[in-house]
Amino acid sequence: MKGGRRNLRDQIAGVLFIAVGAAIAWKAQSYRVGPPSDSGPGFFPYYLGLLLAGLGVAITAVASFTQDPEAERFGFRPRTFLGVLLPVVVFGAMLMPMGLVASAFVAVLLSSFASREVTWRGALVNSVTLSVIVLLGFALILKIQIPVWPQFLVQR
Amino acid sequence: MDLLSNLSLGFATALSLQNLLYAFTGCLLGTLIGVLPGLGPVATMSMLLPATFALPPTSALIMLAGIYYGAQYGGSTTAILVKLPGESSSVVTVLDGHEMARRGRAGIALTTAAVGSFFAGTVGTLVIAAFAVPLASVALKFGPPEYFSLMVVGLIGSVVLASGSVLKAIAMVVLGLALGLVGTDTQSGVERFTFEADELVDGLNFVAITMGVFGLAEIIANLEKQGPVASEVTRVSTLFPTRQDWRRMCPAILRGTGIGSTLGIFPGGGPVISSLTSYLVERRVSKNPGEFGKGAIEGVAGPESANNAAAQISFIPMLTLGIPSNIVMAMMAGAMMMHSIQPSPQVMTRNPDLFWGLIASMWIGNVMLLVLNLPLVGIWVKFLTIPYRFLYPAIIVFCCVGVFSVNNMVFDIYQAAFWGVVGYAFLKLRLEPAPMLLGLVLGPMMEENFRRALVLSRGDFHIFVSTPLACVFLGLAVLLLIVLASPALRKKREKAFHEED
Repeated sequence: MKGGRRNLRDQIAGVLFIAVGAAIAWKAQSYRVGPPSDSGPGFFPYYLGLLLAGLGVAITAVASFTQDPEAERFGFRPRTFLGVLLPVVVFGAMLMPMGLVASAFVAVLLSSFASREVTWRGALVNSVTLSVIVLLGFALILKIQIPVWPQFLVQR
Repeated sequence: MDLLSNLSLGFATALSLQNLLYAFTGCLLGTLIGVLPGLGPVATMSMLLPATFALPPTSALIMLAGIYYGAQYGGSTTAILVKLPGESSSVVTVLDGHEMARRGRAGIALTTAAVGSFFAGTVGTLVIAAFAVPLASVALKFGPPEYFSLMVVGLIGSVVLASGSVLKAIAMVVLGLALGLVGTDTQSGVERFTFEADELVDGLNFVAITMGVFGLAEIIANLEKQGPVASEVTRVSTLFPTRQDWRRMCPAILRGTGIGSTLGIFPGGGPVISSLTSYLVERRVSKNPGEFGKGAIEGVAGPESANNAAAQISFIPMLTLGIPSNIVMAMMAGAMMMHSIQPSPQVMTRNPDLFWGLIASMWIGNVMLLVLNLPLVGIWVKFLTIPYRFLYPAIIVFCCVGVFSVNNMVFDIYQAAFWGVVGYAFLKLRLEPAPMLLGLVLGPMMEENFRRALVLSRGDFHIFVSTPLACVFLGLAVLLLIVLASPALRKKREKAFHEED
């Protein structure tokens, strides 16, 4: 991001607030809004949405004639981003059919890609250790309700 | 003596073997996770929140309070030993605490922090016990307009401590309020903003949001910065301060406790303001201000006492009014609601064992920190040195299992991932998530009181001005906004936040 005459960070934030606020207000109209004396379920969200959009306008306006105090770039690193969030999604997808142990193993393995410091060996050791910890801690000690082993093995 | 009988009920509850065990487990787990690099009290609490669900409500809250104290203590430990403050209220501890450690007085700094925290915690507990009953009885007389206005003050107050733009922080509050409305409307039974998803009928999952925003998003940010590296861990020598140390730290502890007990009531972030103020006061009253920043024991004793006293006092608005005043209290309130206890002035009369048990366990938690954690400091130091690359995969998996176990729904795991994305965007856009979470907790309550007030007045908005107390509260909120917007204070705020960096 260039250190220009405007604050791009805040401009993006402002526009997002306008969009979300407008969406909330628009959606709230599908519920009954009603007059103040007899307000419906849409009343409070409708005005909250408008307020949010209004704040968004103000933020965008202020941002267009102020400078971003930080010269720092956004610094988006897809590898780190995906390396942290993909394991969560995969864990969710695997949990019911494959159980806790297998899901934890795969999630930890996947998460290793988020850091450049982790080697293949380290990732494997990490996965095995954590799968065992999760098995012992959650399934055997805390005894939480969670499928532990793959379904096709259990059903046999 | 009503106070005594209340406190004895509290201690009877808190001293049951089961609850003692939970308080102990909470303190231990809280410290354990709190000392891990890159994990503050909020992240620690959101990770451990699901672990308390299976417990009865009183035990769950006692354990959570223990986790909070433990994590706070853990944060001070890392601040002193490796110059990594676990949370914003131990930021000033770094200044002199780490300097003391570098001069071979790490153990003494830790003891000072622990003794100061213990003393302040004791005073704080007494203050809560003394003021809770009268405050709650006043609060019981509040009608919807008073309640609504009080919440406005609380929310605006939470903005004071958000770093950066005031407008952005207020927008985050409003966003949080709106998010709090997702789910079934209690008054009409209409399902709002659920997008036909059955999983959202009961509202957004609080744990999924905190884990996504404070857990997952933080991990991404930490990894981008190559992770917080515990470069040099200082050796812990003797734990026992000399007589001269005691003479210097005792007045500072007293002053810090006083500051924390008064400023702690301030909505938003009593602990941070208190520790900062205490540090400035100590530097001013000291006979040799030149020592500050070079390992002055007062610079540890004052702020650490102040932040602990304030942390204790910040329970007051949540327990007596049902209005959480900062993010940690928002999480406590969230936990209460998950046990279907609505935080309100009635908690004291309806669940006296929970109320007084929690207060007593606060003190017990402080004792445990003193007698257990100080001797165990050697073990904590070991945990400090765990490299982040081993930690973050564990945090990810624990978050997944934790968030699933709240409702046994896979949907919530995806929700956590979604909030991870959102939290990451917040970080990049410099939007503070804490005010949003406060709004999220208060949203439904605020709407209910707003609508009820308008029903009472038949739609006349003047009710918020014609009700004397409501008018005072709203006036306070406006005043806060004006002060916040004034250029002089903005400079000061910027400076304060700058010093923290």
